[in-house]
Amino acid sequence: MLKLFFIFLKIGSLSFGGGYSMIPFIQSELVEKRNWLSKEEFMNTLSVSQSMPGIFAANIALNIGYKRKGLKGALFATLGCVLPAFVSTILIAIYFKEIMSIPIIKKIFEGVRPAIAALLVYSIYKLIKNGKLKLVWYTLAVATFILVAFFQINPIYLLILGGLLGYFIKGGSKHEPTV
Amino acid sequence: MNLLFNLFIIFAKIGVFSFGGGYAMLPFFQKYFVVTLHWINMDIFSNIVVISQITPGAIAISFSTFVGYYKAGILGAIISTIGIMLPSIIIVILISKFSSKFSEKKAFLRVLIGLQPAVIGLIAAATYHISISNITNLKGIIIFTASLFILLYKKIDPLLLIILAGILGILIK
Repeated sequence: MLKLFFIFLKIGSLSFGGGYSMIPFIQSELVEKRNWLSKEEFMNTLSVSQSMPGIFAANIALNIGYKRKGLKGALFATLGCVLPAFVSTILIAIYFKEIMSIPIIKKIFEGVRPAIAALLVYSIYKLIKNGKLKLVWYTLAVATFILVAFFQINPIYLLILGGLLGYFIKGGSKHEPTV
Repeated sequence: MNLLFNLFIIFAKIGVFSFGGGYAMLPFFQKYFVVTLHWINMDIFSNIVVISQITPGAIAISFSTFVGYYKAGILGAIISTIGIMLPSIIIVILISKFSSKFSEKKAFLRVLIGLQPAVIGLIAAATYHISISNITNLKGIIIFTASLFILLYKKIDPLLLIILAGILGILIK
């Protein structure tokens, strides 16, 4: 149990830039080093974690923790995975005013913010490139963009709409998705 | 007490609908905390996104921790983070229990296909909001363009890009 906690604590501490950056690391730790899962089980866990709501990395921890030690294992693994983010963010939050009053830090933040816009654009580019959706689906993407960005419509409705359309429309993708 | 309960409910609601990763969740945070509740402004919103990129772990946790702390101290941060995690904990465990081949169900795969364009639209909306409040001068335009260029052509690691952008932030007047 503690082992689960510490392994995911380590994984959580080293995961900068989202869940996907953790995949090679989790794989070497759990598949190659410890033989907890076969490569195939690991890929399966990934696809399940990806299709569930919630945080991708935490879902991986949940799934693997649950498989090994049931509910308790799932909770310990998830706690380990989330703790580094929680602790580092709360330290910044506590001293936020002091930190932001340092001129050089303010400049760094100013520099990083436009780069985040670029990261977002790049992630859209990658989603479109790897998604292989039929062209008509992009009307939904455009509609979502307009409604959420300019009319402040709650994103929940657009996700529900997308899910329903997906459910009722067969053959929406050029390929069966490799979820 | 009421505030803590509110924090929990709002984050749990976002937790249920968090498909497509952290970037797709940004419009939720923007809608609830900036537009509807006025808890934070776009400046703090953008700063939380920066913090999420320079600390380990998911964007969602940065938001639940930061906004929770901002509104109700450490207890607020803990309650909010539990709130955002709980729906997925319940869903993942129920699914592991009752279905071993969940990801192979055809109908569910179709739902996921329908979610993809919505997620793309959501990230586009986040891009729009972050861009209009952060790319406001020549310096911003330069850093944005340079970042996009290296992302597309050099496949740079996001963390390294953040570090470079931070350095540019100091160097460019």
